[in-house]
Amino acid sequence: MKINIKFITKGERVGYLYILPAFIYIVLVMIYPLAFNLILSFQEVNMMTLMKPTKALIGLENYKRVITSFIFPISLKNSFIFTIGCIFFQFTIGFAFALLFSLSFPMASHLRGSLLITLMVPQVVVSILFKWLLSGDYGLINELLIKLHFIKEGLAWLADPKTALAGVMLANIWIGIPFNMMILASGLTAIPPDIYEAAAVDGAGPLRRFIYLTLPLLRPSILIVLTLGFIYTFRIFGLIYAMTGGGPIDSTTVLPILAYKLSFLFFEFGQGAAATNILLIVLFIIIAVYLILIAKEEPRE
Amino acid sequence: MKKKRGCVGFFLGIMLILLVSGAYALERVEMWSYVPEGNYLYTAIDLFNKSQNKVKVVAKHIPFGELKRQVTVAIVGKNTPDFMMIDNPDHASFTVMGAYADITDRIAKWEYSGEDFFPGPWRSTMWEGRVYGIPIETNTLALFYNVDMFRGAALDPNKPPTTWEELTSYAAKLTKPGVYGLSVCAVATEEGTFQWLPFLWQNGVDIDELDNPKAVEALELWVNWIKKGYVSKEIVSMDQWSGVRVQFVNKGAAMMVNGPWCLPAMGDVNFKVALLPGRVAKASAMGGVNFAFFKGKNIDAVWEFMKWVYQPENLETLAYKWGCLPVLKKVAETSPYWRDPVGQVFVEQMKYARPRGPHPRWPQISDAVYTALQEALLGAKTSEQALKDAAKKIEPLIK
Repeated sequence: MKINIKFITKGERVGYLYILPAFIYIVLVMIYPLAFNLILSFQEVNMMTLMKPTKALIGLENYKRVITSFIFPISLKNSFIFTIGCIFFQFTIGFAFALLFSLSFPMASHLRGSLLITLMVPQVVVSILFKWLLSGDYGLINELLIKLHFIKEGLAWLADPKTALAGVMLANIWIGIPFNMMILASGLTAIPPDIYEAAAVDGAGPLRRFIYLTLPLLRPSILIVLTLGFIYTFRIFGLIYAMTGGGPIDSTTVLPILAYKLSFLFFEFGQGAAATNILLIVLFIIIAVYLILIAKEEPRE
Repeated sequence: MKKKRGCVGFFLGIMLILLVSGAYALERVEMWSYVPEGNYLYTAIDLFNKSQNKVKVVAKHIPFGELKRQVTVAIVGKNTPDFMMIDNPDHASFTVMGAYADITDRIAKWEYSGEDFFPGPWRSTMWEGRVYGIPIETNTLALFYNVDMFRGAALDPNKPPTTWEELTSYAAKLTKPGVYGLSVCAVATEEGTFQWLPFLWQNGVDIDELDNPKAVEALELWVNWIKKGYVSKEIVSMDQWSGVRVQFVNKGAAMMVNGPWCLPAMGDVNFKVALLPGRVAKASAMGGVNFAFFKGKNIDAVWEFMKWVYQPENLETLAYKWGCLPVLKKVAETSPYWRDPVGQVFVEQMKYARPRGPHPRWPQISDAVYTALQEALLGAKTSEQALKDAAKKIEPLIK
């Protein structure tokens, strides 16, 4: 297929002019920083070289330093545990809520609306809130678990390296549930109810209807919510930093926090840039997986 | 009529020009620091500004955790202030970055020289034999102890512990239900490193030998305290001011390792101060801030302020009201404020106070140290393993 520029009509040319401002904006605000960051990751930039007019290009040295550092495998592991754990609970609980609100009962829409508050509260406020809830001495969560006989005495959630990650996951799960609920709920409403009636007539019980009708029909919604959720959760910085600063003993240090520490605590800007690019690579892989899975959907010509 | 109005207008114009030019003859210099508002420093600056009309110092407060970041951003964006106060272990990083002016020649023409200052603080301003700042405030760590609790445990308040063994056994005797024998700070920040390093140094090793058995001993000392319950398990999250000091003042601990900044806020505790214990050597950590001057800025004007601040009476008052020691040896040794027993201990301890670094990569070195400290205290690793890992992290940094 040859693209013949001569045949771009006057209308199309004007069209390109209209999108030019948006295009310039995207280049300045997104492409330029990305490119700058990429180049930065190949340079030797730290406290000592920051003010030099030209910075040495050192190839993949920064990436090597980041990957072979003590903290990298820990932060990668934490990132994956945090992301997958949060997504799992956000998805299942959000799905349950979506199913619940697909039934109509009085005050359903009000209740559903009120759940959206968790998305509107600023991350730092959620951090402070959950720091109090998870407090070892006077936290509500410990109270609850003790009353329910799950534990005998209060845990120092955020001070114990074994439980700190669970603590920050709890806060993030709380935030993310309505996002999952909304997207799945809108997917649910798109399913025509006649299908269920037809299946019921054929003798399918509620569980079979769910597994063989609801889930396959919801596939696009499920895929998008999982992918977007993964991308968003993998990048979370503020919530965790405000709750634990990455500690104790790096037990809640995820990749974004590692990148922050490298750049703004150690002033190793080249390494910080490399860390963020590694994060980017992981996300690219996830998006590629999503695109492959969603392509399976397309009907063959 | 018109002529008269014209005359009046002309004179008013001249007066306006004179007034405005008078204001412009005043040179304005800006200083950044993390010193909290309400500190006597700001009163001192006011006094200086009112005492003459050539230079006006304007001080901007930036919280401690933010200061280095904002300064770095300002350096890159080329809109730094004229001078700043920088924490002494961080001085070298910015010198190496090329941000600070070399004032070696200015110092040579000054009434004071490096010899007049305490050696530790002065060393922190130097890099490769040249001077890049002047210490303004210095402090160190010593052992505070509750006299009444000593008597209650049949310990002589005039015989404080002088060795590690004595410190541990005193802590054991002073620990009872609701009261810890000792309190120290082991947080995952510079403060934790600051508190533990003296014990490393007392055993004769430094951060370049963290895998040495003597370093392991120094860490085991602390681990033992937490295992036996002589210190609270919370020391890993208690900072020096709102954690350790508060525990001591509320009589939750019988002894504490802390600095002279606590002295204005000791409540009604009947306390004395002693030197930190020695082992191979006596040692303590040196805290404090230095003035540093940005290259290419109005350092001549700033120097007027320096000449004022370092006059003995001004320095003495500033240090005392700030809660830190005067950096000039002469002032510290003769000042009436520091003649009392507590003050004398701090002045004596300053002789053994060592600076951290100077090393441009100090934040990473410190990170390795306080991470190892926390790993051992929380039981995540043995002391040997924690220090071995820290040594591996530090090795490429100090090559």
